[in-house]
Amino acid sequence: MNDNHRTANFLKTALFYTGAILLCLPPVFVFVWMILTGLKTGVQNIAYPPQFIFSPTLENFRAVFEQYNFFQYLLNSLIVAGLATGVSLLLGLPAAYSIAKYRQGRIGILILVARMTPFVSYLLPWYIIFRYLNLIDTYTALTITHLIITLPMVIWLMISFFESVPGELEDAAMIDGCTAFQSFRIIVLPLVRNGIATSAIISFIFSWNQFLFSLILSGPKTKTVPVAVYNFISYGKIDWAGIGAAATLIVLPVSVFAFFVRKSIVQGLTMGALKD
Amino acid sequence: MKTIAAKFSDIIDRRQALFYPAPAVIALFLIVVIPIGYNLYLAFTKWTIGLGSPRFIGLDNFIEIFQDDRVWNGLMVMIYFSGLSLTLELVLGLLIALYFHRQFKGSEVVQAIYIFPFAATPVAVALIWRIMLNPEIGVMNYLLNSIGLPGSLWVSSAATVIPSLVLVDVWKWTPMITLIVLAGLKSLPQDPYEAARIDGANTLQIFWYITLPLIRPVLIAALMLRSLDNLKEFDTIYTITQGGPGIASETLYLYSYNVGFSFFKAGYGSALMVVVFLIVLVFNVVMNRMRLSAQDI
Amino acid sequence: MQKKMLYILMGALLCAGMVSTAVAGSVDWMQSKGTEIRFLMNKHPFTTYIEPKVAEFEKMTGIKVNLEVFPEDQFRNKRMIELNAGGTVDGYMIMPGQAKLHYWKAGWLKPLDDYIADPALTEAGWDVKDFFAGPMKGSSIDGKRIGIVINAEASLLSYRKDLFERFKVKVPETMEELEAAAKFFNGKDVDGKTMVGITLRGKGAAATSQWVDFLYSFGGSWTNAQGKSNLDSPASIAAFKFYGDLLRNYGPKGATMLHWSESTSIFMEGKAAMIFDANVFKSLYENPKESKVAGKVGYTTIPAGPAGKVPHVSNWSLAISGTSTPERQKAAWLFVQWATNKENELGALMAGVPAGRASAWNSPEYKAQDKNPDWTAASLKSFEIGQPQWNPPVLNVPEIRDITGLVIVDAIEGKDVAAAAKKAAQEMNKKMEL
Repeated sequence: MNDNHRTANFLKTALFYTGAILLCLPPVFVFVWMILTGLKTGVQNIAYPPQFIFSPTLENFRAVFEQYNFFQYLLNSLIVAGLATGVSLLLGLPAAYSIAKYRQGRIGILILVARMTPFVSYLLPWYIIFRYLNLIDTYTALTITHLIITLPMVIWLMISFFESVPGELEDAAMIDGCTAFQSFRIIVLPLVRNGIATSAIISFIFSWNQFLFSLILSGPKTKTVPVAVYNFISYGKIDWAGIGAAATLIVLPVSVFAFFVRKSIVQGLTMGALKD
Repeated sequence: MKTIAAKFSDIIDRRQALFYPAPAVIALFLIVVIPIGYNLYLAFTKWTIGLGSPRFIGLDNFIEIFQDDRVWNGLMVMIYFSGLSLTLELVLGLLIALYFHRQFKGSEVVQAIYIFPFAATPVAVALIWRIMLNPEIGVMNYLLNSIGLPGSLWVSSAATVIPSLVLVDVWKWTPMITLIVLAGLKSLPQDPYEAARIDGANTLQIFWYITLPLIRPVLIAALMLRSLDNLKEFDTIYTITQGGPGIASETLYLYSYNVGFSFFKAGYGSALMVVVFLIVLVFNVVMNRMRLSAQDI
Repeated sequence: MQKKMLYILMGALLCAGMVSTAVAGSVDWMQSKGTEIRFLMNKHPFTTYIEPKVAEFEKMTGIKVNLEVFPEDQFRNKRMIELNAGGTVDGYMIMPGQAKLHYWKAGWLKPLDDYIADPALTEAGWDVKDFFAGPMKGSSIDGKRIGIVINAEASLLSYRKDLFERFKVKVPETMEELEAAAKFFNGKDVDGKTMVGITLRGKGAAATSQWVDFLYSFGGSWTNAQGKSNLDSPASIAAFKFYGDLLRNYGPKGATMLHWSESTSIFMEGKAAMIFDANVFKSLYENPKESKVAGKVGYTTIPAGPAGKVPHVSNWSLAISGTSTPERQKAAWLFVQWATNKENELGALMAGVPAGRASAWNSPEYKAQDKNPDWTAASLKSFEIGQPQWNPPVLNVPEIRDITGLVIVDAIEGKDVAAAAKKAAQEMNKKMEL
């Protein structure tokens, strides 16, 4: 009886883990395939049946760095994503705080409108404006355009975090002689530091992955990695091996980063989803 | 005696509601409203990029939209793609979340694996999908054949291109929805469940009468978040099919891009973008109503 | 002593010879010293060839050259958005058959004839007459030269020499023979692979560049004598139908999504007996690192249709931006002139780029190392008989190509071609701008 019970339990567990592995296969497989693509030669990549076992080459990864100045592109992406995130926090935190505290729903709508506009419609006017300001191929221009994605995101996420801060705490601080700004800085911000980390991370990821704006407004000095990966499409052929290597190099940093901060990401997105 | 700086900060303090959002609002106004205004203006003009200046033509562009076959094609593609992908992402996300909603060793690993597709750069993974889906040399057909299934033409046939693109979108976003719903499930109150168990309800009844209504606001909110990007899906479709074969995967958004930038008809292209914007807007207003009414229950 | 003298003399002669390639003649190459110019380039084999050599030019002239390279689709969009804003682009690559009418009317192209005629700006030895006449005509508009040809492209029928010999199949000379050969090889198991008969571009607008050779060879045309669309003429419909049937019956699966990359991949994997595409792709087929068919490919001109062999000849040119300043335009001309000089065009040809100068193709250096004389002969023949007007003669070329591409897709899918062609002709008449 007891044995049967144990067997049934074991079977149940085994079944559960089998299912779990199956459910984890799709994400894993695409990543494995991406890395394999980067480790193959050109001929191996167009072979059919596709090769799973082959002698891997690091040639493509070497070529990516040697031919394409990839370090510079990685650095550019890092700078732009960092700046966009920083500026978004600087502008977005007070705004989100105020919207949460004073129920300024209308401002929230402006932010949503920014998210709803087709991004393509920004390209022509922005290029004309930045050209006029002499800002083409500068970090400034790229940062400003990325704000369109990151700033609404930071504000939207932070509203829910600020709403969860009890108002009594601030009242108490004011009675103790704090100015409103001091109570915001000293009392409220530390309470939502989790939220700040979360929105910073998510905004960084979205900026890192941005393609369209960077394509039009970047130049040789500021080209970011998603634009650079397109370099492997050339006249008459697509360098699959190079794309595999480059894609791996782009996706890996941000994925490893996301891996370490996954709890914050989930929390942030859940807060966004659970807010009223 | 107060310094000027202190006085200034006093003013800011008293007018917090005005000054705190101001920088963000001004910034957004400058980077959003000016381009939108320019775009709206172009929507009422005829202009081939580079040739002269835009010429005002009133509502002609919008009249043309109603007569343009490709607009209707684009709408249908958009509805097909978004309808299928959003539905699948929600349903699969919910089911997978229910599957993993328990204590088990390795839940951390699952969470870690599920964060990858969300974080991955869309154009990079889309390029990888493009070679995986190739009907002659791609690995997807090889996998199908090796488990005894016939291969598919994937994005290379008008009949299967949308489901294939949906597959890529579902691959990328279902894990994220799973994680959100999973977190939502963990935060549900326990009392209704205990009461139901005492009443002898079965698993299906518990799911239908308790879990689903409780989790609905989360689902709708997740749907709203997703739809903002999904209705304007660009990177993936542009990278994998550019709207082909023919115009079988040309969403309205992609068509507006083609008109504006490939055919350099900025006036008509802008009018199309205005329509895309209105569709996203209406969808979100409706969803928001639904979400609010779901919370009232 | 005498010997030493001889060495010195020889050394001096050698030095003089080396210098002469750089600064012989009338042009002061240092005249634009300190200027910085910016060129937008397509990711094309010519760009790959010239990019590492730019430093030489910079050293010789003191001009700083920034080359920015993008794949074709992104390149076109970026080029247009930048030129529209009247910006910092001083020169760019252009496929005149695709964009010259639009760019010319927009004022984005600087006529080059004054530069060419000025001995202070152009070396006598540069020799404008050395460029192939057809492509150079393609790079002119309203009687003015607006680009200098860096690469002349014609489409060739490339076939698996080894298999044609092994199975004793005749290399197609006519469209009927082409179909017969495609039929023969399609589905055949060769060395463990199931072959397809032929691979062609099938992806809508992109396919029109290859399909146009069939259009002309079947006696069709873009427009009729009245300047109206001729896409629905019987000859044009026959061309659509032949092309679509060929791909559907004897081509790869999913042919409506075959762009050049997919099509060449299938040929290079050894899965197709023939491919009809641009001659510039020879350097791909023959590169053993990328291709399994290197050394096994034969080349010939397009098979003859009812109207004979009428290939198109397109070209990539270097153009100077009309929106740039005179100072920078002058520096840009020096760069264009240098990049298209005899030495560089020969170098490009040696690297597999079908260069635009006759002297390069006729040079002993090239002939001595030419491993594919059939490719050379077929390319030269195509340049000679080719049509430089290969796109619809309209301003909005991409839009009309797109409309035409939809008929090609319908033809591949086996739909009613006549009806599709008729609809496309109506659309073309409605949408074309001159």
